[in-house]
Amino acid sequence: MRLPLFWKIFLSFWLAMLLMLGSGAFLISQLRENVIFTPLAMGEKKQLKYHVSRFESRQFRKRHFPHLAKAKHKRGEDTLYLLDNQGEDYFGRVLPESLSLLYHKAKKNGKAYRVQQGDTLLFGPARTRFDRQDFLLFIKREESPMRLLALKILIHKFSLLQLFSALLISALSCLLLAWLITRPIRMLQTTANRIASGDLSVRARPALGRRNDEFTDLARDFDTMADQVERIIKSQKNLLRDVSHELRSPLARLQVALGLAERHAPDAQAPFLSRIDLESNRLNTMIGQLLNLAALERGVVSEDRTRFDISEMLHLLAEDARFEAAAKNLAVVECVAEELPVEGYYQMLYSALENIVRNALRHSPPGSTVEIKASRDDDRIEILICDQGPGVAEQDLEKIFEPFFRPSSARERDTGGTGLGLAIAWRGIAANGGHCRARNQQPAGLCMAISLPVAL
Amino acid sequence: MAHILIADDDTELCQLLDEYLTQEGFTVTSAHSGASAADLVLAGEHDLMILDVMLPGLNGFDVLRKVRSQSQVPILMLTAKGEEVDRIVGLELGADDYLAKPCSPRELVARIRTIIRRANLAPPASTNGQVLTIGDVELAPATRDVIRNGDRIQLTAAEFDVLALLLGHAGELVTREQLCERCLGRKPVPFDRSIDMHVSNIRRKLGPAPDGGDRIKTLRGTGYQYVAINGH
Ligand SMILES: Nc1ncnc2c1ncn2[C@@H]1O[C@H](COP(=O)(O)OP(=O)(O)OP(=O)(O)O)[C@@H](O)[C@H]1O
Ligand SMILES: [Mg+2]
Repeated sequence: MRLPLFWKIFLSFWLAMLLMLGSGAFLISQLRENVIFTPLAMGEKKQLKYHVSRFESRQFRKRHFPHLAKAKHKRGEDTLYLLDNQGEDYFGRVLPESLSLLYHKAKKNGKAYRVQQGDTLLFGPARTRFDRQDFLLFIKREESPMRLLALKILIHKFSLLQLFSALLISALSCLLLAWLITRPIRMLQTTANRIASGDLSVRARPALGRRNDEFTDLARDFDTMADQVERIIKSQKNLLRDVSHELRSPLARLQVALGLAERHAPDAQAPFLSRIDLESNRLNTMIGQLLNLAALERGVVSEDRTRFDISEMLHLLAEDARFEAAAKNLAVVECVAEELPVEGYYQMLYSALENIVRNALRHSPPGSTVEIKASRDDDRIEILICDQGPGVAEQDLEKIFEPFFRPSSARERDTGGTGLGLAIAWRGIAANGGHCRARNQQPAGLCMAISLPVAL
Repeated sequence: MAHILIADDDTELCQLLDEYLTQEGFTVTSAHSGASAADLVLAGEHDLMILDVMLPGLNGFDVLRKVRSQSQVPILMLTAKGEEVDRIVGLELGADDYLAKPCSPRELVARIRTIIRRANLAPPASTNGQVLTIGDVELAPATRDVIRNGDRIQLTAAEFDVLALLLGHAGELVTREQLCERCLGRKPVPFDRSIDMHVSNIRRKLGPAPDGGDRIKTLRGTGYQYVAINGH
């Protein structure tokens, strides 16, 4: 599955942020689990004093147990511990671990502390006399279940809301971050796309504005590359033009000289002269086709896009094909739907289809039929040009669109093709937003299927 | 004897053609730049110009434009093979016909002969000068004038012949084959767009019919028909 960089950055940042938040919360809760001694708060000092006076003013007796050891408090229920010199509880209860820790620390330092552990608060000591003995008074406070519940609900509520807003805020900031990071990449991509589609003059650096970082370095390097490509393509284009012109001039002279020679030559030389004529014609065709192919490969188009009806083009082609097919006694059958609007390069499409029709005529055995069909299928126009010739070997069905490919060279020499026609047709159809495929049909023959987008 | 101007920057080719065409009985002059070719042909002494598209300075299309603004002298254009667009532009600018270069001299001579024959077929006052009027269009074979609503329309020789044939058979189908044979003086070559280009030039120059519709209907794949307008 393809995950765009934008979402990768966003997700990894977000995950990192959430992990950080989570581990922070975990650490804090860990700290709270440890026993930490802090000085007493005012309220707790007062509480201790109050209980000491309670013990000392009234004559509590042992029989008042267990009421003695418990006390209600507005924030919860208090349990009172009276510890003697050895740290034994007057009421003989087992001490919680943190209480004995508190006891020892307080005794050692002669100071009072508080210890909070979860919902349990321990604080003390205060000196008191009870039952004619000296004790140290500690208070353990369990925060009341009611309060706990309220608190929990509160926390619950808060944490849901907070969780949600934390998620939202972190997601938003990560989105922004990811967008900021990927923005220059997108700009580079737009530039690259425009260059690829043939606009060689665009550059990436200006689009990035005033920033100055690795991206601008990349953009500068990209622009250097684009300069280079533009230069090469321009020089190649000029070279091809010049070469074709230069090659054609001697060919043109050759043909006129040949014409003069034919006029004066003895009959015995006629076949050789006509052979020279044929070969110079071939050379000429090949130069023209090479130029055509080169122009298409570079995406150079010398005509304007227009809107036209491809069914009319197919009628013209069929008419011409009939004319040419008469010599071979071929039938050209048309089955073309009315009104097949196309927007594209008329001439380019015309010569692409012309080549395919000519191939069909050329490979048809005498007396057979060539079919030209076209119909509209949703937003595509499907064109089929089929013959009843030998077809093409299955493994070559794609290769025939490559320049100079010819399956059986010996046979092709006779038909006199250069092997460039389909390569040009394929690219011409692609430049019009379509595609072209070859397949063999039963019982014999090749079918070319061309698909083009319908003009809106 | 027809006088031919060859406009091509290849002096050696011009020499060879000169020799060939002279042997065929033509008088030949050569011009090696666009500007001199335009000046020479506008002097009015030539019966036909062979114009190469690739010319230094003023290129073939510029020459075509310049010459057509003042003269309807027949022009045969030489284009590089594979450059279909050049042909279309040339025909649009008013060339009478085109030939792919390099071409066999035999074919060149045949093409020259038909163009000249056609130009001479309708010399002023040689026909009975019967004026054809269909709707708002008036065609005078004698003067080779076409008048639409009182405006003179400039047509090349080839365009004039195509229109004359269509008007002469207004309301009937004229096949592309007939048009090619009667107007260009040759058998139609398969996959050849010349007639269609001439027709589209005529359409453009005449504009739409008074009722806003097409003057010339395309009959798919077969030919053209001038729409007859009744009541005139
Ligand atoms: N209708 C067909 N039936 C059988 N083989 C075909 C058909 N069309 C194309 N081919 C094969 O594909 C090859 C390539 O065709 P392509 O049109 O590219 O070249 P070509 O026809 O040989 O030369 P040209 O450049 O003159 O068109 C041909 O040589 C031929 O072997
Ligand atoms: Mg071919």
